[in-house]
Formats: sequence, structure tokens, C-alpha cells
Amino acid sequence: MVIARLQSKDGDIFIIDVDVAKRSNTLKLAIEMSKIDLDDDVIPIENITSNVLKPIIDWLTYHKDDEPSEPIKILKAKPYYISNWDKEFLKMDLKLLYEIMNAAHFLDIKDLVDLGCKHIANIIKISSHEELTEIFEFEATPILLTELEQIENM
Amino acid sequence: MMAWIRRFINNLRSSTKVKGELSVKEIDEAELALLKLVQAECLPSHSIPGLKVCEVEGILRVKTKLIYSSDEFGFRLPVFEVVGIDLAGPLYLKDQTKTWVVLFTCAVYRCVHLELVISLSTEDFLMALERFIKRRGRPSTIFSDNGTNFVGANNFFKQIDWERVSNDGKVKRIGWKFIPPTAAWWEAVMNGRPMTYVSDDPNDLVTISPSMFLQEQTDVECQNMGSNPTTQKLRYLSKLRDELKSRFRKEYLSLLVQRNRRIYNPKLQAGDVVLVGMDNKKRNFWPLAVIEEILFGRDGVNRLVKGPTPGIRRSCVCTHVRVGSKGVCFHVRNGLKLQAKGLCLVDHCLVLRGLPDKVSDESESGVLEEVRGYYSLDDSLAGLIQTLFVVSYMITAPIFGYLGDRYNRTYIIAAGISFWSVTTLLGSFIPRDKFGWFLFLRAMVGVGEASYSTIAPTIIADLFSEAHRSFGLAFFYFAIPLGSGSGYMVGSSVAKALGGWQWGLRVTPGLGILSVVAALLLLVHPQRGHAEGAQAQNATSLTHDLKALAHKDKAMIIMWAGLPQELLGSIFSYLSYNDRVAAARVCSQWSCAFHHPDLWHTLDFECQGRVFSRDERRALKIAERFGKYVKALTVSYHKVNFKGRQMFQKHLCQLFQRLSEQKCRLKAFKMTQLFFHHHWRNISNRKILVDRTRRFLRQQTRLETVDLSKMDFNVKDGLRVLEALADSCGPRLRELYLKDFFHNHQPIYRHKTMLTFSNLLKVSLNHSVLSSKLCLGLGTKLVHLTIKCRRHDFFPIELTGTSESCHPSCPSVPLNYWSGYLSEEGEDNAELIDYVRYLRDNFANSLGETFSVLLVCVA
Repeated sequence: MVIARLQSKDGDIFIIDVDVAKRSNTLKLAIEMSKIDLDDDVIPIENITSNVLKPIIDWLTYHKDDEPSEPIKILKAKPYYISNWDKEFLKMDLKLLYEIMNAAHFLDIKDLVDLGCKHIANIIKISSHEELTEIFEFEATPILLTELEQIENM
Repeated sequence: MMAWIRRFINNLRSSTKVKGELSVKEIDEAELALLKLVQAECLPSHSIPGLKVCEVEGILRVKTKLIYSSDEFGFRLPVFEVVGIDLAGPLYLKDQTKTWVVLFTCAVYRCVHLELVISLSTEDFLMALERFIKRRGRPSTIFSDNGTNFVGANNFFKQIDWERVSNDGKVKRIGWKFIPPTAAWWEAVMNGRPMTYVSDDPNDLVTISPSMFLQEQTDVECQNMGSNPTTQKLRYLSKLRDELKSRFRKEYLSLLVQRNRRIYNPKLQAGDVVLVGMDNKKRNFWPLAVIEEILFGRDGVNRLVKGPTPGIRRSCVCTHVRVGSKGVCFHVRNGLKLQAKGLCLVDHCLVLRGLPDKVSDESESGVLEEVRGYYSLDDSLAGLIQTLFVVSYMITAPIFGYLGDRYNRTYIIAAGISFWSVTTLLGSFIPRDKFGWFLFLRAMVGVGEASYSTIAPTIIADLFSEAHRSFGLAFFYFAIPLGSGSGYMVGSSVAKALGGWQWGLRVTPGLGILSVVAALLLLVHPQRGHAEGAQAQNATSLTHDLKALAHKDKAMIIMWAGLPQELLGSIFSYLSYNDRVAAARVCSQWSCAFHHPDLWHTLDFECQGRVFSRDERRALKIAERFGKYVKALTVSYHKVNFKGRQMFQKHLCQLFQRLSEQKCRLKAFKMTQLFFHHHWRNISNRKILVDRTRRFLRQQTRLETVDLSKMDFNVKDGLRVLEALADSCGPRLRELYLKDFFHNHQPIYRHKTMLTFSNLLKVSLNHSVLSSKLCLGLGTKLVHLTIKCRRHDFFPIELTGTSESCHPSCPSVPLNYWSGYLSEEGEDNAELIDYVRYLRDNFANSLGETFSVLLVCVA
């Protein structure tokens, strides 16, 4: 097993199987395109902190054998299915989830981004407008009245 | 022949054997040897009468001026003596045929000669070479690459048999050298291109360009002279040529000598002020930076410098550091010092201001007993003085905070202190019986004090950055206890000295006025958040502020609103329409995502009840607003009564109209289960609907998938719709589903119309309309054919016939084995005919009205 060493912003080093790491397209590019010597060099990921990187690596490791998921074509009013392990995984506060989604977006892990989006979509589905404002702690950037009318008219 | 003999002799003499084709060098040597032989035979005296003769390399040559020419070797060469060749293209002619351009570049003069070839074959290239040689003379050496420099055309270029061309070239004594692919610099030069700098001065000579030499070459070649004017002309031409040569030597050749510019690369040190060069900004706007740390590049040159820039708070690593000239550096440093000096002054002013205030307050406290005596107050009223002061301070401080965030703080401070001084001074003149006025003025003093004490720290904070800020603030707050301490002393001593507590209050306004003047003169109004490199913020409106203050989420984070657009888009793509609206209402960023084109690629227009529901209306509105983004349209209805169908027709026509107005270009169109024959037979609007559908389809030129199953058209309507489809996007179409498209189960497809769909991949049809002609029309790329059979269709003989007639239409796909699928029961990989026979024998009675057979062609 070939391993890769990932260094987070805080300087912690995570050891991860290369095949697992390659599920992130960004890391895959980094490993394949640049001449990183996996035995000696660490791969610095300078904009992701350890507390975010760790769950991402956990998720990658758990899902390493998964087939890439198909995009969903039919829109449903009901919440989307999320597996039990993922449900456990998503039990975190939204701030961390936000950072994880951003990091996954940066690392280009499509499935994880999709999972996060699905989760958020599910939350939006089951909550009312007021609850949404509360849950996501929106800064009150007021939406223009004309815009609001346009949206509500539809 | 001579060359072969010489090679044979050489091979005998030396141990290294030379093999293969003769090289140019060998042929040259052979020629020299032959010449020597001839000269030895004919000119034994080594002289020719009437001509000066010299001997070079053992050969007699006629002595001419040319030998003494001081020009470079290259200049003695004719144009196109050494030539680079490359192929450019392909170019497309009007009739879509490709041509290539063979580019001959002269290595000395950079002239370019172009030849057109119509194919990449070796023969064509050789013909182009022939033409070139006929026009420009035979080159001695040809350079060319092996053709890998055009990535896409690589393979085409390789089709040229360079080996053969090379051999051919040798016969004509052209040396052929292949250079590495990346060194193909030849084609970059064009004839008209100036070879030297283009001068702005119109009086200057015309710039030298390679074409001049080409011109000259052709002129030289006309040698038949005799008459006088021609000789003159020739002289004139040769004079011109000489001038040209001298200019060439002066202006161009001197340029070829490349001198490295001396780079001023001073030793940088930590702490130096540098300009950070940025490609996307003008030099004027390059930010200044102070070097924190120098990182050395691999070659030991300090390329990387790290430092905080005033505009960017974080320290950044700059890769291109340009040190400003010494003057600039000096200037900047001085400026900084000046600014720092100014800050110190400002600081002093603020301290000054702090002092008198406190002095006055505490001097009042110091003389409180006397004040009590003067106004004959009891304890509670005396306490009221301080209480009122504090209360007014408390009320007005937030107001000044608000003002300070929006208006010029210097003026606010100046006004506040003037106000403070005036009220303090007035307070000392209040007579004995007007204690109420005294109280009021003391309260006003609180207002003045509120003005400076809320704003002064913010100015200090904005003027100084991290390290100096605490120092500045400390200096400011240090003034407060200093003021209190001295206030007691000053207040009571002044009161004693001048005989009256009022004097204690009258001293301090003088100090106050002093600091007002200092503030107005010296205090530069800093931008808010200046030290942190903040940009100027626009003042927000008061109502908006109040609203924001009233809103409970005021202090919340912008986090989720600031989600990257891609992520927001993909969240929204998981939401149904209603949820999207709900989410879009939350904040403006999310409502932006609501308008993203990707979200509106699909549009469903589906009627499920008897009346028109909200969904249909919404679909119409989406079509009106986002119609241009729609890529896939689905139209269908279930369980709709007569009246509902009329409404449906009306709204569908409206939908088509709106989509056309928005210039929507569909990729997929699905209109199913309209059952025209059954449901619309007696409806007068049927004709309009068919017509609109037809017109809509005629506009859609980018369709790839069309599903029109269960439409149940009559013959005339169906054919017209199909024709519209064939007209607009016949060959583009990849998938076409026409199951139960016609009501009539006769082979009625028009052969010509079906032929237009030549690139179909997937087709579904009714078995009854299949004919061998139609199958031929289905195109050659078919991989998936679904045939729906009715109960009375599935006689094995007919199916056999079908399979045979189907076969030639998809020759690329061998129909080796089919898998049959039945809606009732299925068994994979059974041969269809056997399977149908088996079904007929066993389940003929229990089968439903229809079943479909899926014929899968396995490649």
C-alpha cells in the first residue's frame, strides 16, 4: 500500500492511502502531475485546517470502494435518501459542515459535495422560511422587494 | 560515380566503413576531385590569359572582387540558399476542401516563400518543392522538422514520406537536415515584417524588411544589358543595393548581437520598502510592501520576498520584486516618517484634549464643597450634579458613535469640544438662584464629553496599526487619570488663588479651545479601518440601520449566504420548485442562485387533474422568465376531461409561444399520451394545437431526443409533424420514439422523410408500421430498436421478415443475439422467434392486449 502524507494548515500530518487520496481530483492532479515523492514529501493543503481535514479523510476512507454516484434526474418533494453512516457523519454543527463542503469543493470530491448538498437540500425541504433563517444564521442581507415579488409570484 | 569510387577508396583506407546513400559532402568532394582532374588536364600552366587567377583548395579560380568581400559569409549567399520548410494549415477552401501551405523560409534574410499544396502526400510536397526551386533557385540546405509541432495535425504530417523526399533531395544535391520539433522557428517570420525597430520619425528611411532582399534578387537576375539607359539603371540599382547592404549591416546585423542588459539587482534586506510588481495593475498602483523575510531561490538570487503590504493585511510572498529606484525608496521612506511624525502630533492633541476634560471634571469635584455652599445644596441635590452629567453622557455616547461611523470625525470632535468648553464656561457664570440652569449646563458638558471620548479612540485605532495601536491608546487613556489627579490640584488651587470656585471651571475651557485648534489643524481624518487596509464603506441609510439593529440576527455570520455559487447551484438542483422558492426568499445571495441558468434546464408541463393547477401556471411563468435556459421539455396529461383538454390546448399554445419568444433551443422534447385520435377528435382546437406544435418543432434546430409516443395522430397530422421535425433537425436527431405515433397501423411513414433522420441511435416503433423501406431509412448507426407488437402482430413469420428487413439498415451492428423482453414475463437471452413461438403456444390466451418486444442489437 502506497501512502500519501497530507499536511493541514495547522501543520498536522495525516497519513492516507494513495488510492483513497486520489478520489479527490485535486489531490489526484497534485500527485500525478507534480513530481511529489510520496515517500519523502508531504502534500501541503494550506487552506484546510485539521478539524476539517480529519472528517473528510474519514469519509474518504469509508467510501473508498464506492462507485461514483449517478446524478439525480428526478426532482422530488420528499427528502433524499442518505445512508446511515453518512447520517452519522453529518451529525455535526453546520459551521463545520460548511467548512467541510467548502474544503470538499476545493479538493474536488464530487460525492462528498453532493452529499453535503443533498443534506442541505433535505434541511431546506423540511423547514419553513423562518426556520431556515434561524438554522443557517443568515446575516440579514435583505432581499430586494421587487426580487421577492418576482419569486413569490411564480 | 566519382563519389561512389571515392567512398570505396575511403572505405578501403580507413577502418570505419561508410554505408547507405551518398551524402552531399561526398558528392561535393567528388565534384572538386573531378574539377581538379579537368583543370590539371586543360590548364597545365595554372594561368588563363587575360584573367587573374588564384588557387583555392587546389582548384584554380578566377580572381574577382567577390573574394575580397568583407561581408559575412551569409551575405554572399543568394536568397533561399539555406531554407527552412514547414507546413501550415490546414486551410479550408470555400468548397470545404483542405489545403496546406508549405512555408519556405530563407535562413539568412528571413524571407518567406509560400506554396499551396492540396494534400499532404509526398508527391504534392515534392511538386511544391519543385515549384519553389524553379522560382527561387535551388537551395543548398533545407531544414525541416519532423512535423510534431502541430499537435493535432501530427498524424497527418507523418504521412509524408520524409525519407523519400530526403533521398530525392540528395539527387538534386540538396542537403536535408531535420531539426528537433521544438526548434522550428522558421515560420515565425514574414516577409513584410520590419527587421529593425520601426522609427516614429516619418523622415527616417523606410525600415528594412526581408522583402527588400527578395526584390533585389529578382532585379539582379535581369542581365541582358547593352543600351545606355539600361546600364545607368543597372548602376543605379547596384548603388541602391550597396546602400541596402550597408543599411543591412548597420541596422540589422548589429541588432543580432545580443547584449544582456545589466540588471540592477541590489541586495535586499528585511525592512526595505519595495514595490510589488503586479501584472494586472499599472505601475502607479503597485502596492508598497515592507520586506519581512527574504527567501532565496535555487540559484541563490533573492527572488522571493515576503512582506505585509498596506493594502493587503496578510503577508504575502511576492515572486517578482522590483526595487524602486533609489529615489523612490528614499521618498517613500521619508513620507512614512513624515506621516509618523504627524501621528505623534495627533496623539499629543488627543492627550491634550483628554487632559482638560478630566481637569475640569475633577476640578469640579475638587470644589464640590464650595459649590454646595454657593448654591446652598443638600446632599441629594449635590449628588444630582454628577448623576445628570453621567446620564447625559450615557444617552449621547451612542449617538456620537453613530455619527462617528458616518461623518467626518475631526469635525465632530472639534464641535464637541467647543460645545464642552462653552458649556463649562457658562456654568461658572450661573448666579446663586439659578441652580436649575447650572444642572442643565453640567448635563450639556456630559454631551460634549461623550463626543470626544467615543470618537477619539477610534481615530487612534485607525491611525496606528497593530503594534503601535495599543501604545497610542495607552497614551490616550493615560491622560485620563493624569487629568483627574491634576484636576483636583488645579481646580482647588485655582479656586483658592483667584477666590472663587468658578475660576476652577473657567481655566479649563482655554485648554479645550487649544485642543480644538490643534485638532482642526493637525488631525488628518483617517479612513475607517485604514490601518487594516480596509476599503471605504458607503454610509448606510438610517432606516436600514435601525432595521438591522432591530433584527435579531444582526450579529450572525454571513457564512451560509456566502457559499460558492457552484455549491449553491448544486443544492438548488436538488430542490423541487416550491423548495427553491422558499430557499430563494431567505437572502439575496440565495435568490441569485435561484436565477442560475443550470437550474432551469428541464421544464415539465404536466396536467394531472381536471382543472389547471398551480404547477401549470408556474410552468408558464418559468417559460416566460427562464425560457431561454430550458433544454428539455416534457408535456403530458392524465385524466383530463373535455373542458380541461380545451384549457390544456390553450395553455400549451401559450407555453410554445413564450418559449419561442425567449428563443429557447431545446435538446430534448417529450410530448406523450395526448391521444389525439381518441381525445381530440371532436375538439375544434385540435387543428390549432397540431399547427402550433408543428410550428414550434420547426423552430427547434438543436433537438437530439424526441419522444412523441402515444400521440395517436391521424395520418395527415402525423406526417406534417414528422416533416417539421425532419426539416428542422433531421440529421441531428439521436433518439426518436414514435411508439403509437399514428393511429393508423399501416406502413405509412414517408420514405423520404425518414431518410433525413440519418444519425439515429435509438428508435422505437410499432411493429405494424414497419416496412423494409422504412427500416432502410432508419440509418446505419442504429444500436437500439424497440418494436412494439400488438397481440395480432406476433406471428413468427412476420417477425422473421422484420428481422431480415431490419438487418441491412444496421450493418455495423451484427444481430447476433437478441434478448426478448415481455411486459408479462421475461426471459433474457432467448432467441426472439423461439420465444414468441413459445409464447404463442403457451400463453396466447392469457396475454394482455399489447406487449412490446425489445430488440437489442449487441455489438
